[in-house]
Amino acid sequence: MHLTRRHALGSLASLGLIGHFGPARAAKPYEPPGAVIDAAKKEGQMTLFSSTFAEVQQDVIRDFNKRFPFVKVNFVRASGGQLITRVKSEAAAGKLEADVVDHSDRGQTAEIAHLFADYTPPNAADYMPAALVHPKLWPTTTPAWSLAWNPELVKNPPKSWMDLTKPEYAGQIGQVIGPSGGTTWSRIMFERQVLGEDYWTKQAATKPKLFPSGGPLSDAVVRGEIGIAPLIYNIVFPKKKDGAPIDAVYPSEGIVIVPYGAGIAKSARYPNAARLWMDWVLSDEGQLQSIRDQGNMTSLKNPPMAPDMFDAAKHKIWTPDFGQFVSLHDKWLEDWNKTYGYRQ
Amino acid sequence: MDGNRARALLPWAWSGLLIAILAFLVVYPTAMLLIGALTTTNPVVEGYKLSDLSIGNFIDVAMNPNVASALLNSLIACGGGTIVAVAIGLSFAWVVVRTNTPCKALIASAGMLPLFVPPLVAGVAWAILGSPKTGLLNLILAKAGLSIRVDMYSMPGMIFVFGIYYAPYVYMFTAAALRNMDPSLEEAAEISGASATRTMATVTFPLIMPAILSGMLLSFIVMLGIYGIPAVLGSPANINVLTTYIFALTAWSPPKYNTAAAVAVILMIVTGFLVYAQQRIVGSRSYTTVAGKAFRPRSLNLGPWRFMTLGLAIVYLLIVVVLPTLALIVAAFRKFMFIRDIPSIFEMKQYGWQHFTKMLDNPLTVTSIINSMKVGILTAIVGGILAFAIGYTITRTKAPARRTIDVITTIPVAIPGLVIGVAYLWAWIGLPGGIYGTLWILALAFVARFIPDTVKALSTSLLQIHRELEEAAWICGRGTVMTISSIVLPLARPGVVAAMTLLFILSIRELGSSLFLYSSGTMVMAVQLLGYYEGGNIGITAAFSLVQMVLLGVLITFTNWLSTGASTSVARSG
Repeated sequence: MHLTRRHALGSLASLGLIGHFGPARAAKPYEPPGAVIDAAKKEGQMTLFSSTFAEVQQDVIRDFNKRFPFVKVNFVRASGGQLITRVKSEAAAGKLEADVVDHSDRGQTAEIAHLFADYTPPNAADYMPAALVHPKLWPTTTPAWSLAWNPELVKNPPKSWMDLTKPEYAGQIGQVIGPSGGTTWSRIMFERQVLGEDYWTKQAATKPKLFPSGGPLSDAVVRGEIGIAPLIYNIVFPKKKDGAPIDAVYPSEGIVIVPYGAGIAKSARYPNAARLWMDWVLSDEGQLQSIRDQGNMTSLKNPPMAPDMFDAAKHKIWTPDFGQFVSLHDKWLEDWNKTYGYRQ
Repeated sequence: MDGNRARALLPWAWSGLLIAILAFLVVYPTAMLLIGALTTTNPVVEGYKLSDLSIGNFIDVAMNPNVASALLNSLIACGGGTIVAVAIGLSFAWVVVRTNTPCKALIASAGMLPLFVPPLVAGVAWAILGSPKTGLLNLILAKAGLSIRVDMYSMPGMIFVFGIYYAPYVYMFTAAALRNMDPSLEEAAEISGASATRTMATVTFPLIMPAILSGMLLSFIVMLGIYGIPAVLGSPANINVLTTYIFALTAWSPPKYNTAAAVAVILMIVTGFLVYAQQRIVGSRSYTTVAGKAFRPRSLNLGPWRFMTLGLAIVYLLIVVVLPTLALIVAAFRKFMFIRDIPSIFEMKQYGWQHFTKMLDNPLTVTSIINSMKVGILTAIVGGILAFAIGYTITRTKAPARRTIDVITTIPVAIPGLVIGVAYLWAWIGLPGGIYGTLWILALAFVARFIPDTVKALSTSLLQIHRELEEAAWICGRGTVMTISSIVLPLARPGVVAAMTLLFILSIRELGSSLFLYSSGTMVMAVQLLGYYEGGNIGITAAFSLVQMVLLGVLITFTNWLSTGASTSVARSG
């Protein structure tokens, strides 16, 4: 069945959560109450557990410290599953080191919501309800899936998800394996729910090369080993900014966004510093930094600036229904593995 | 009478102490792993009851054809890799120790270089060289007008890289054994009319068989546990091995550690069988080659053929050391690794220090280097002492329960690092006191994880020291401690230094157990390197790898000097 844009958008509305950003507006400066500053200053440090790439997270920490140099941010990075195992085990032993846990898979974070303290950022009302899965968890980061390519090799780049099924791109495409985590799971849900039940079969027919995660795949695109790949834009953005041979576009059928789930640990040793961190990251100022310097989207209803490449007139954003995000997971990933011949 | 009883109890107390230490370091985490494999819960979080235990995970794993496929791929890749490693390592050891090939010291030092390279970096370096589309070797072949292409994203590619990077393990074992071998045995064979080749085949190699087998077994098992090489070279060709399979299970959302533990237990059984077979072979014969007589390692005069061995060594070093190191240097200094053709490699405007600057700009880089050095030293000292105590007890005493000690010591060899890491976390996180979150917990995990490797490396040296030397000391009235310190330790010093060096290197490179035990203040290099790789920055990954190689190279040179000094003094004092 040929999938028209209208058909796709119809599916978007019925199966996922679709949305538009409101118009971009000037970022409101973040001015924390004096009491929060004093308390954070007194604590002097906090520990952040995050599944974000270490380099990206270090940049955020650096920006935070420009504003608040008196809070030292200790940082532990681990991939999704490993981070959750560590958090659960440490918490069970009463030794959770983290003051803030920031995870790309909201499903897994929501499962351990009991480990988080009640927390609401000052600008809570500014966030899109679709991006929120639990009152204690907030989308500090909202990356989005893009189509990337190496312009030295690919002269007629894809513009839509459906382009990735075209025979002309056979042998040039790379894919991150479906079971790599919540970020990829969101995308492959979109593919099946919005682009059609047979999308995976058509796409797999182009014989994509499979990679364990997005980092090595983005590197393979820059090296020219892979011509085209769906990639989270925040991994393409810094390379593009540095002049690497990589470019990207947001696909016409919809932009899959992946709001993170972050919260303050109930057992936080430095709760005030943690709160200052969360408030700042979630503020217009923090989100502006995330959009401008990291190449992310935002889950704010009205972004503090238009995200790179984003055109409000033609782009729609999509995020999975959270119930389906959890319930379809195992069965659909099994199907994906079979379709792509990935031996799980 | 009381004195006699105390003396009689002493061996029991000694064995008891060793078993207690091993129970903490090995048995307890392994038990947690088994519990994990027999349940569907995180034992620390949900706890476990006897009624929860089931073999469901094993049935799932046994019924899954992909596990069988991953196991078969592992056996092919590691088996093939071991054959390549033995062929290279043994030849190298013979050339360096027993021939008059020129530039031997240089060849020996350069031949060890692959050991400093983390597997992940080895994979990346060979992907840069031999990826099917843009590999540098393929650019050269294309430039030369040849139609053949190298494809490192394949099973032969993995076997090749495994083989060349783990040849130094075989080299370390066999070179030490060749160096410590009494040449009079070979001289006797030659006096009896045996040719050089026959002497080598019937005297030299059979006598160092424990070292060959130990090197083979160690390299095979280490390969079985390696993630980096198959992740980089196997994954794009959809070739899963057990480690990539296990890693995928741990990264699954939610992670499937219980299934991963079940796979690990199956791997333990396979490896346990191999270790048992090796011990049966080694244990059934006498391999004593260091006796109370003075000797100097014998050097075979190859005549003009020595230039051929030199040529072969140079070719080997070119392939194994120069090419991948050049690839890493190019990647570390080049802005981007898109290389259109051969001339573009030499466009100097493409090169700079940007990756090093960025790397050093990250405060965790320096922290991780300092922490890794501290943990490496702690591990080498604590592990060296413990391994010597265990190795001596197993090989040179009649202490009670020494078989049990030997068996327990061997267990960690069979458990992949990615899984044992979470077992250590489960086992030790609840310990009272402040050890969790410190460098000590990492050091203890490394000691436990690598105790089999260290003990085997040491035992090879200890097995070669003739008992008559200790007996002479006892006759002269020396006690056990004095005999060890004045006779055994000096004679085994090259082996001790080699074992501690090995422990240091392995601990610096160890990723699996570090992933779960490091905390915000104890970041180590292996984790930092994975972070750079997963972040998709090949330039910083290569830059950081070069730093790591240089640091390890300096250390190895130092310990090599120590070891050489020791050998010389032993030969003289004999």
